[in-house]
Amino acid sequence: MPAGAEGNQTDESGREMDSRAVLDLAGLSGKILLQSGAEIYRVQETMLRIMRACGVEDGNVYVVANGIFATVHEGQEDERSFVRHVPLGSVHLGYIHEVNRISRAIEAGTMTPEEALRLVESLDIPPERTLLQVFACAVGSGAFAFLFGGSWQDALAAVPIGVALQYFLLFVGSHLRRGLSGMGGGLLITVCAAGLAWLVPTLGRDYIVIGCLMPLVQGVSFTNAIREFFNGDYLAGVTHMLDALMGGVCIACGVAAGLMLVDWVGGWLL
Amino acid sequence: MRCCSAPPRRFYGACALCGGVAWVVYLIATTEYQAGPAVASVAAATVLAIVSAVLSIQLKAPSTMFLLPGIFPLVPGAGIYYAAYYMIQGDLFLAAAKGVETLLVAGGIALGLMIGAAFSNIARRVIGTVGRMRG
Repeated sequence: MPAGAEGNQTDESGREMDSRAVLDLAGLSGKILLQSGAEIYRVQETMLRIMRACGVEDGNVYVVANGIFATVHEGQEDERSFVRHVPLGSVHLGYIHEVNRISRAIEAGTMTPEEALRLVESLDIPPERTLLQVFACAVGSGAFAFLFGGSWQDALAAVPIGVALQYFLLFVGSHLRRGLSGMGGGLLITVCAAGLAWLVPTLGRDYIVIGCLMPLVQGVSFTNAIREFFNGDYLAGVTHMLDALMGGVCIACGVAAGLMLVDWVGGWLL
Repeated sequence: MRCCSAPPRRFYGACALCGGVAWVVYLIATTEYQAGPAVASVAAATVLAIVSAVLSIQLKAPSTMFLLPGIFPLVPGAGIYYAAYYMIQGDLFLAAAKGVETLLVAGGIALGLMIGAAFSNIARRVIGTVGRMRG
């Protein structure tokens, strides 16, 4: 490490950046990636690439499913470390894309590290409008009901339940733990679908419930778990796999509770 | 949680394409070749992984972006429902059968994604080598 002993790093294009700023940039980028649902491999690779592009060659990065540890210039005067707990969060592909773009730009030299640090610190992508999310969930529920063998009447019946589900997830579910919101969602869907099927006896209750369940299922955790296994990050893979499994079990519990409730109310009414 | 995953809007079309491709492969496997749900999931996930690898290179975006939306139709939502349903009916045998089938489908998706990823890795390396030999 010829340039490592001084406080400032100078890379080949003459840009200067101290080790704290480099670590902040790499660490923040990694944190955003991890909490947006990127794989461990991508997080580590991006952090190391950013460090190298800023002229730090002796960076060390260790990432697990819910935490980041990183150091630069270990054993030297200006050694720094970065430790963050990153709770398992909701997936946001927009952030992954944005950080990916920034790190590419740093590597290509079209963006200075200072500029990138400012960008990463203020990175804020607003969520899609509520109405659009509700619309997506409604159409998705209807389409999945149709896809899994329901008639077009079943698909139509799933649409209002999808609307109710997304409103529930946005306004109630976001205050609950993840498992509980899955349970509540499953319960809500089952009761609504049974109610609709009771009003219109030609509807297939099962198809409506399955269609509306699909937006609840933890597909992202599951997919990421597989990719972690494939990359050899078994620790993160197991964490995500258990997360997905717990989510599935919770939804099943909610549906089961809904079915029991419906049976009980039905028996009491008739 | 599809509705909250929020890819940038200009990728919506590519994401939709992935979901469609995966489901078409699944349908062909189950109807034309009478494959079970687990085997059909392997086929669909393999094709999906290859398609999203190609898209990620073409559009310069992480392949996660296309893999996640594509996987949604395959994830066993119906299995979860039927397992809970039979459990309530008191038919533990059918509930267990549905539960195992759900796990098998999940394993099938995993296997398919791995095959697809391995395949596209090899293809990328071969194309890179050939390109260098020519250049």
